[in-house]
Amino acid sequence: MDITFDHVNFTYQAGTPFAGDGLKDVSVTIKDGSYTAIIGHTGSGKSTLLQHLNALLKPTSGTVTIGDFKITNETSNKNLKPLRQKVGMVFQFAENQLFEQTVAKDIAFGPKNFGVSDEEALKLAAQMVKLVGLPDSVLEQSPFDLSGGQMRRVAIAGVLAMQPEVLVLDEPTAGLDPAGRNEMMAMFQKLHETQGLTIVLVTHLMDDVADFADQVLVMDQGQLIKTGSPRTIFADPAWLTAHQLGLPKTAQMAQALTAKGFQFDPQPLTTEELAQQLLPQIGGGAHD
Amino acid sequence: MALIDIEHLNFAYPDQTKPALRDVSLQVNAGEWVAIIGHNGSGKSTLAKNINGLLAPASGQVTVAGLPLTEANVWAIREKVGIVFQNPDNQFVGATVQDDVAFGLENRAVPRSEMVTRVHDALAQVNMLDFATREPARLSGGQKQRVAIAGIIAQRPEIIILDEATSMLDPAGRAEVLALIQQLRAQTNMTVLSITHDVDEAASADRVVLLNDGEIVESGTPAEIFTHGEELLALGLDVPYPERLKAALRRAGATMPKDYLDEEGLVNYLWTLHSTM
Repeated sequence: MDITFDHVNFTYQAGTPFAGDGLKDVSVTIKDGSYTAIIGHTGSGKSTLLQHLNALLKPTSGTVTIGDFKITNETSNKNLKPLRQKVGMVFQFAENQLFEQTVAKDIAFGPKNFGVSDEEALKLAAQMVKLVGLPDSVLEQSPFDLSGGQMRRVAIAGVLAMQPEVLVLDEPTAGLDPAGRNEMMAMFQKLHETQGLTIVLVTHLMDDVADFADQVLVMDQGQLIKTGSPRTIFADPAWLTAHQLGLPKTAQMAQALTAKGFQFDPQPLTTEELAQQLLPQIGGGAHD
Repeated sequence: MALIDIEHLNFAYPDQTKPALRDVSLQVNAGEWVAIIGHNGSGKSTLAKNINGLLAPASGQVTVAGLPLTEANVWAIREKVGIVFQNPDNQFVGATVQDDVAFGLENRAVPRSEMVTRVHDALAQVNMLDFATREPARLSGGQKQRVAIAGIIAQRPEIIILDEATSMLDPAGRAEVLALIQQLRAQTNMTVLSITHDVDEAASADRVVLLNDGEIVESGTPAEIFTHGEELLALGLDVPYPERLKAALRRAGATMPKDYLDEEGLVNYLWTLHSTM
């Protein structure tokens, strides 16, 4: 399911003295099966863009096409339910939206709202718990007795239980410890590879962009100012700094090494790539 | 005597069979910055809460500034220890930034004239004076934590505990808060205990204490701790990037020095190898 933005403008509180630009003339396609990262500093319009992906916000002008759905300013909220099922949203600190007495009931809540029977929804819950890497034993536990990282997995299982085609992730690893972060990112990668889920990731972590995304959208003041592969985006450190964006750690290190006299082609994005390119330049390393 | 002296501390949460802290002994000197690292659930926050009496130990002794932590002393100790928590949104009570900073002082019945000066000074120190009459909810994450820190320093504690105070912030906000802590330490010689899994934060400290399953497994300078790169990764912790690159180079077949090198150090080291090829 492709998602296409065609000259999308969005104004917050349009027609009031508080009107403010959210999105300005955004045109972009997020291809079916892709892994897209959206970057930009706080307030650049990332979240506004995100909320257009399942019509939580509708463009003030322009069109958003999501599979068979065409969303314009005139689109009524009626009949949007199938769309919301196809595009699953995992908000920041998703664990805050848990509310049920047991993990199983919490995960089953979404599918039940989309007309799945109680029995079927509970069956789905059991499958999803496995998919997010939690043991069966949590199903009958209260979600509030779990650790923060486990709670977040339950919330994600609740979104996956609706069997979406697109998974939208708004800083899904914020507040997790390094091990939790790595596990969570590996889990999304697996869902992307094995279930063919299209992933849209909003993040401040440039290392994750370099490691996982195949397309990067850079937002600034409501505008989409650059689109490209991570390699193209991170090839211009000066431009990124000018837009208050960082570099992946590998690119930072490569930059420091280049300043010293080392040469890299292409610019390495992962630690392994950097090590491979360095090796011949250091004579295979010293022996101490 | 150390400013914070923890001797053989044991602690277990009710209904938990496994203790959260086991025989923890730790001394923090006045003016020192100690980072406590460990994965989620390793006992870091439990340790912090035992220092100012939010939790009471099962056995062992905590002494802060010469005062043993007892029911009689707990309020005197809390005046000396300020904690900044993880989620900036959970700790605001005031309608404006200045009201919020004044809240702790009001509770301690500080006279108004002095309160005005202290709030002003604290906000100036964290560089948030321009925001004094703003609503806390409308600030960025980094700004919120700076206000939370102002609320603490207005009370002039001897010790400030940062309990994962930067973990919910974006990289810019994190850098902002770290720079502030460094600046405050330079100005006031404040003792800082930071509980964190951010390696950059730990690398800025004078000493790093590694906690695993409620026990102290290692304690030393950041350079000493970060030489245990592989073990840290095995414990679910991060290591500074140069250590990761060294590990990758070793996997690719190169021999790398054992000692911890920061980014500049590693760049220079690699350049020496390049030049002697």
